[in-house]
Amino acid sequence: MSVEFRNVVKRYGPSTAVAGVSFTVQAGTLVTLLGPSGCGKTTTLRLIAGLELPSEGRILLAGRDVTSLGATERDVSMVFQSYALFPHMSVLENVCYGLRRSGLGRDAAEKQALGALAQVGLEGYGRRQPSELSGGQQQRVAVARALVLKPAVLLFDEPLSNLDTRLRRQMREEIRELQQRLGLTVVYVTHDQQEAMAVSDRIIVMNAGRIEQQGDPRDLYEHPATPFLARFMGESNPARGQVRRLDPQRVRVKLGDAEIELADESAPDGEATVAIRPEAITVEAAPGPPGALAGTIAKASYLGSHMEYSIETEIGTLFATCPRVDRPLGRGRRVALVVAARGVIVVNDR
Amino acid sequence: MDAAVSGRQYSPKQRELLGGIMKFGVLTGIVAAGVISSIATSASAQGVLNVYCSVQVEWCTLIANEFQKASGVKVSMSQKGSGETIAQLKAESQNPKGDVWFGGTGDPHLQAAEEGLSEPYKSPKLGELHPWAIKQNTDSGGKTVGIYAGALGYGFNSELLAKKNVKPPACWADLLKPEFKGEIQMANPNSSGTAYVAIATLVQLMGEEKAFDYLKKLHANINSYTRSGTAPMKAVARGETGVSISFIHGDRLDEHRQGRAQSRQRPEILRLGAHTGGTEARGAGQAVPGAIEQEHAGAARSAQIRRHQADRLRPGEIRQVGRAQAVDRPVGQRGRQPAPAVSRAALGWSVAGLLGAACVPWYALQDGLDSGAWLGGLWATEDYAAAIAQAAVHGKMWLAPVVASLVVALVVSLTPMTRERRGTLLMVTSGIGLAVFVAQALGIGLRGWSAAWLEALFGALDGRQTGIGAGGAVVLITLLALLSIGLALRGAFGGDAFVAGAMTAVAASILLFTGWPMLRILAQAFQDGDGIFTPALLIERLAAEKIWSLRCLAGGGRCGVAWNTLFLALCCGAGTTALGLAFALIASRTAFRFKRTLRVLTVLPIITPPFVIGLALILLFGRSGVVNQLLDWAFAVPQTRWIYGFQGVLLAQLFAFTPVAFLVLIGVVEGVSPTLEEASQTLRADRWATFATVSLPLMRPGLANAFLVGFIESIADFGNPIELGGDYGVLSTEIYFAVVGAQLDYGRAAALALLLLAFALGAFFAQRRIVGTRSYATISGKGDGGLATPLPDRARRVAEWIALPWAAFTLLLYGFAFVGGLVKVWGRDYTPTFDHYVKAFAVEHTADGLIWTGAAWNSFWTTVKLAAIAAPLTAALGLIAAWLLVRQRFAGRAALEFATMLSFAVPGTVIGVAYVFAFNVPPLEITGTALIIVLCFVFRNMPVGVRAGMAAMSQIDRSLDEASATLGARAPHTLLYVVLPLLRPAVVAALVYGFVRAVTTVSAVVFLVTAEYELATTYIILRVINGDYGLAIAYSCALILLMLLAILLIQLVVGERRLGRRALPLAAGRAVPIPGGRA
Repeated sequence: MSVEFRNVVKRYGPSTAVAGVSFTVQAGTLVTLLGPSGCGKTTTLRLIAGLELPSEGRILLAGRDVTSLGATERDVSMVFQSYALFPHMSVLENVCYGLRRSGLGRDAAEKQALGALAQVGLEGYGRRQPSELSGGQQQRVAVARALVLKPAVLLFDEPLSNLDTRLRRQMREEIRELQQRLGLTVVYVTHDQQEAMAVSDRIIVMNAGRIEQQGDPRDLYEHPATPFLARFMGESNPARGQVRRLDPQRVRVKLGDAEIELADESAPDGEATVAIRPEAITVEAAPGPPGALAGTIAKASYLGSHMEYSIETEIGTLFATCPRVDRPLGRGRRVALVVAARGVIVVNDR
Repeated sequence: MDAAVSGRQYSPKQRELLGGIMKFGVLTGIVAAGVISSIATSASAQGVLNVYCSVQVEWCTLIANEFQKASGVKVSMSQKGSGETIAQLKAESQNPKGDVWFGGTGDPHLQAAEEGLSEPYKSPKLGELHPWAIKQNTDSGGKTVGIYAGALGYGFNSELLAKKNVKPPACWADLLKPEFKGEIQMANPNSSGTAYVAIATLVQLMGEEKAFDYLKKLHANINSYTRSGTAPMKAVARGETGVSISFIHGDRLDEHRQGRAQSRQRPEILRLGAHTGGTEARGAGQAVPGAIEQEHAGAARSAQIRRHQADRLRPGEIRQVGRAQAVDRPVGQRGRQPAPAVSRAALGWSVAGLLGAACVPWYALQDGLDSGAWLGGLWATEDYAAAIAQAAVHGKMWLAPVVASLVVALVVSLTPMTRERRGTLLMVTSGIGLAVFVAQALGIGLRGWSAAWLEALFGALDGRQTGIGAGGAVVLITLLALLSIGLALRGAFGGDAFVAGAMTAVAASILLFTGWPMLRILAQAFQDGDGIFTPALLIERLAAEKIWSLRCLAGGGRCGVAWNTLFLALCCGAGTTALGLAFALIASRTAFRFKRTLRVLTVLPIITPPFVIGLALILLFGRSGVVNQLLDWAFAVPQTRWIYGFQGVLLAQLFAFTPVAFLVLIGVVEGVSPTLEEASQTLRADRWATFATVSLPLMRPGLANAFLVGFIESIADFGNPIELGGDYGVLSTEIYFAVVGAQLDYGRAAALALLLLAFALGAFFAQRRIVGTRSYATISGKGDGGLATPLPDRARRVAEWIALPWAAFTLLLYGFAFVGGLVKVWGRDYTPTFDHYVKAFAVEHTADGLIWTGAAWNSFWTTVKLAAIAAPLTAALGLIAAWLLVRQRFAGRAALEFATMLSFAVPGTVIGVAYVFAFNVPPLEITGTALIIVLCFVFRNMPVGVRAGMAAMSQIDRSLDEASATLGARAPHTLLYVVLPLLRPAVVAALVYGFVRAVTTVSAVVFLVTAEYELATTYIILRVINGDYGLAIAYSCALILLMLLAILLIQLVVGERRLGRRALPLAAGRAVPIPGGRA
């Protein structure tokens, strides 16, 4: 079932949390609302849930206008950041809760609830209290509790932020797997760009109550529309460069001594902000090939799988990652930086 | 028939007294009781004569019984002091509820006659009365007549005087002797009719100039001018003062017999002012109205309607729009529903409202709904007609728009349209209906239109307007429900009709039962005697020197009551906070062994009926109290009266309010995160430094809160200042005497109440400014695994030094009180006896089963019943209001929060009078019923539930509510299955306080109780006034027992379910209720 926002505005007194947002979530897809804290993504999620009602605009679920319906009347379930498991009920009672409220008998509800618990890998945990479970298990109970209602739209509000790194990866894979297996429509809120890219069919990046850009993960990463996006979607080094158009499809960007040709259809000639991905910079011992950027290593860190360098250059300090860990370059080494065209983005200045 | 009453039924003692007085030749103040204008309704064989009686209860009962026997007319007698009776008459003056006022001080009767509160009656036997009695009748324009005369004289305590080696005074002149310095007590003529008579007597005896010269000299020997006329004689009997100037007849003689007092009448000098009232039943049997009984029936009826409506309000009916039932179905098909063509909730309500408008009598019925007589007259009989008939046939066309709005709502709910559009239309139509409803309710007074232009517009109304009845109530509730549905449909309150309904219900009921009465009374601050709006009067009333004088600082003279109030409240706030903190620290941070006992001790004062603490203090520390006697015996320290005044009041208030401070602080002390203290210790702070620099500052918001509570409790407290204040007047006593004293000045009372309210608000905002709404003490249940740091030795010693003697003291005080009920005369004759209990609670086993013969049973059961009804209502309303305030965002949230607190910061007397003012006349006429008492309990005690609920609710993660909502639970389900189970401690607290405060309230209900609905506390107070301390104490002990049982029962019922195995972060005792001022 699709979700549609039409020019939705949410104000709290004088402050505006959501300032005119429109988007559509196609049925059966997982869409992520991504943005820094305070950008309005959680408010947007709560607007979908019906926990908040918009000040302006319309909200449609499956084509039906639900703008003024409360949470109870929308066919939507939500997994909360804090899980919000009822502490006075057992795991089974928690999962049964929604079923019982929709009028199902105790036995039927328990049967379905046990099924849902099995689906998230928690067979045999029904009699426990939520406080007796680990964080990951609590998370699964929350998912089961939401899933068991077979909601038209399932909402996740930063569901993994209370878990450790390893568990986070595992849970996000499970969520994605469940979503695809059951064909759920999911709206997912996170501030973690990697998490968003890992689980999403589509990402909506929000900033200051507005949508900054939306698209599929690759599109957003490779073609961020604004400096904010370039910064926010993965790491990038902002720099100033000279752009010269070669033909309708290609431009040449001059970054200090280096010149890079890349595909671009819109950037005008002249000075522009350029974002350089750290993984697109190859660090070589000076003097390096022609067209390389000269620099000096200011900081070097060994991270096991790769090296991280901070390099001082004429266009500023650049951050680079280098998969070659066998020949680390020490601090103070003169180096030459080769910048790959696929990691350079000309960003529209605003 | 006066003669018959005054002649025949007098006891030998009284006859003797009368005779004696006649022998002296009475010069002044022979006074009588007035006749209260009776309600003009048809006489009925079963009519009840409503008598206010202001003499001692034995006499009242005797008169009532004899009259009943002789005339066959049922008498409903309620005993009240003269001052209270005239206050009540004035409050009821628009729609009098009493028929006869019997007895009491004479001046109020004359005052009532002068103010037109009573009406003339000429008894055929008037000629047979004594000349002084007839003169009284003539002076008052036939509105009152003398029935007995009492002598005014002085009494003295022979033991006390003997101990001081002072010869008893033999004549008035003796009282000026220096050896009586600080020994004489008399009442203050500002507040007491007795004192007024005393001065008048002296003037008549000596002549004006000499009399005032005498009074000036006497002033040097006076230790206290009491507020009440009977207080000095009681003080003599208890050995608190050597000599009293007061009436020395009737109950005062009992005082003498019980105590050590002796009275002197010196015929040659003592030409006494005499007085006190007689009676007059207007036409005795024949003209007795049947209105009273109907009143009661009416109340029962409207209670019934309320219940009925409450059933209707079940959410299931409002919200048929919930999600679909089927659950086992393919993904994406759940809960899909087309925009409903018909709004079933709105439809149901409109139909219900129209039924009410068509088939239920609009006005309150004289003979009650259950008689069924109205069924036949719904259309044709004006009294019985429902709204539609009233509008169509009986010319009440202003009801037509109200009915029309219901019809429009019906059409709107049947016509397919969008949700928003329907919401808007429902809102507009019900809004118009409500506006017209309110306008007609306010526009029509008791005797027709309340404004001339309305009369010009609609024509004059004939006959007496009756209050809104069942039909009106149904329509009103329907309109409110439709308004809520409309609001919800438009998306207000999260689009939830239950929330919207709860909101309107809470707001409307607070407006009606707190806002409206308070407005009625406070508006008088701006009105002169004739009700003309004169804002300047407020300034004049508040600028009085008596309120703001600072003479006590310059030495000599007394300070204004406002300063007194503030100073007392500051001391009380600081003292209760310090004591409460000491107790809380000992209970939570030391290895003290008797923590449980300590907890029980701290609860005791809360469940103690008013005046018990004060009386116990007097018996312990009074001039003839145990302590003083002991000091006198052991060290020959002269016995003094130090307990009366600021010190005594403060001591009593510290006793009474420390438990509340403890309850506020224990949660805060336990809530300080041990992690923070551990962090401090790892940062090289020792235990003392940690306590002083981390723990204590973290408790600051709690300390400020406790201080605020102590402060507000103190300024609203009435019982302790009146009992122990002596000359130390505070605002609450000043207000009381403005209402019930000789002043009878509601305007002044209202102005002072406003001042009191301003103090409370000032404290409230100052507290908010200083600590903000921050609470550092958070109970997250996460990561706080550490152990609470034990109290450093220094702090522990201080806390123990403060708290333990205090606890021992409390035990002693209660031990005293308990013993008081088991001895013959408290403080005098310590022979053990069960007499008092037998007198109060005797049960006889007869062939017909058990008969409750004890004197207290009637008021006891009424109290239990009404408190048991009020407690759940108080808790429910308070918790729902708290839920709305914490969980819902809406405009006017702050205003609602303030409104719930309004009745909390005002002394009970003001509330009581306000209720009589507001609910004695149409549109809502419920005085004299049990309903008004219950309503008073509920709305006066609701703040406790609100505070407890808000405190507890803000500790429950909001996402739990939201999770429940997104899981498809409607708001009432969320409330029932998620919020309430987690709120259990707050529910217990709200129920307990609702019950306990209903049982212990006095001043608010004094004006609301009737003979039929007498309450335990008013009964006890009357026993105290009559000097029957043993019975009063026995009854109080029984009440304490009752409340303990009730608390246990509530714990058992509500606290039974367990919260799983995990100890919840919200353990018991966290909810912090703030009970209002007692008494």
